[in-house]
Amino acid sequence: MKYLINIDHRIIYILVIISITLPLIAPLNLPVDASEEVTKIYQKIDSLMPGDTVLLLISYAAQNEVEMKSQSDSVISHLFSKEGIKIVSAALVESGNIYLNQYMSSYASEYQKEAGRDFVNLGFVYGGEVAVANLANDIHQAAPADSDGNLLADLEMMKNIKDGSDFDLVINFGATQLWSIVRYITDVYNVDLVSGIEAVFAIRFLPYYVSGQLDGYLNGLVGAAGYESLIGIRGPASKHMDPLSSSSMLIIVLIIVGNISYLVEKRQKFSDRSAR
Amino acid sequence: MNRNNLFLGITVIITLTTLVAGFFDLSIFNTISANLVNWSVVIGLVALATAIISLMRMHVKRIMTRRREWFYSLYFIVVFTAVCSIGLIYSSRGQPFMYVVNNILVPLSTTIYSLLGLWMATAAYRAFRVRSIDSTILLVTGIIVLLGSTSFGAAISPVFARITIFIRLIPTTAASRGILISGGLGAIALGIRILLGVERGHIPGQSK
Repeated sequence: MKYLINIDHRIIYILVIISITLPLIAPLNLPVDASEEVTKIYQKIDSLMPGDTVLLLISYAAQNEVEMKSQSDSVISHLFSKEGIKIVSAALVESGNIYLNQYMSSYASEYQKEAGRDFVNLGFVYGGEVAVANLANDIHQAAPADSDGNLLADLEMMKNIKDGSDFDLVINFGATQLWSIVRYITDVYNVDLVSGIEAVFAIRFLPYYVSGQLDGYLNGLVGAAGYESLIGIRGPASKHMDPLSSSSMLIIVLIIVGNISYLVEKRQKFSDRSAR
Repeated sequence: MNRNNLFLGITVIITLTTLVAGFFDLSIFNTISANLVNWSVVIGLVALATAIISLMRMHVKRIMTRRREWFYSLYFIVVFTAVCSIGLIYSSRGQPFMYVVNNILVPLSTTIYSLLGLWMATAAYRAFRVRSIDSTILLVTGIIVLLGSTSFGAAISPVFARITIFIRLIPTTAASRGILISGGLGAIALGIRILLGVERGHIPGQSK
């Protein structure tokens, strides 16, 4: 039992790696369900009408690509599939701009959307919280030109989009500036807000969801998989749910084994002491 | 007026101007506040440039004096210069820069981040022990939330998902709210202390 209590951490590492690798080689195809907060995002996007305007913000770093890209891909693809929606997009962190450019160019060509008419990509807006406040107060001043250098004043789509009050929905990915978005845009102008959040930060935003300030959220990879199930695809997030589930089960088994060995050891010590 | 009082005066005027603009719709205060907020963006950019110069100076000095593990400094300068040059020459949307991002930055970042999973597994094995009533509650809650968050849990029984939702929405939200409100009250208290000149950490030479 002592061996189990003081098991070498490298053995645990190997077990975790095996538990992740095996389901990738031989998929279990476990069922994936969408939770209530995920369904609410789907409903918000699905109920958008032609002419509605959406502010799309990206604020996540490269290390969260696996979970955040899965979320963004399914939500943005659903958003672009809606007819007549006007999208204004911006990145609030440096690396977010890389992903934003990828999404805007790939989905624009897939759904035949035209830059300047159906969407405007503002690129990276520097300043963190200040950038969010500026976007909320006056978009034309916060980012006078789009990422291709076209002046917003010259774009037909931007004629009636001036500040936070002109949006019907804000979609954000990444926890970095979510507080600022609530403080400066959605609470001030009473705009709906949905967000994809990295799993490690999701717990911090529960009070905002419960209070209704956040209308729906995607919790890491689980949320992304749920959204994929709603739009009817088995994408990367759904496929990654198998290794996520198997490694979580391994952790549960390890906790149970660790506790059994701990209790047996404790009992043995107690009986040894009583025998003396 | 000595230097410290001058800094304090500037702090008080700027803070009050921004506060008034936040609570009252007065155009003059709104304009001044918007300009002050924009200054912070400009100052941030200047600080970034200063930080790069400072970082370069530090690493060049380490190489020149052949300090211990100086080759890491050389490696940093080479990589920094290479990536910056690629970005400046081909733009941050160009193919070469995207190659660096997709084949170096993303795999390295995700690999480092993924290591957390291994540490968490060993930490869970060693720390989650039924030593007391408190730790037992933590252990049981942890297992239920783990089961409720994965497909396995849902496959075993829908009860796990329901309990997980309850744990998230009621006790976790209550605790998170407590932390958020405490943080907010702390920020207000700190603001008042700065306005009254009690807190002078931001004034040069007064940080201790």
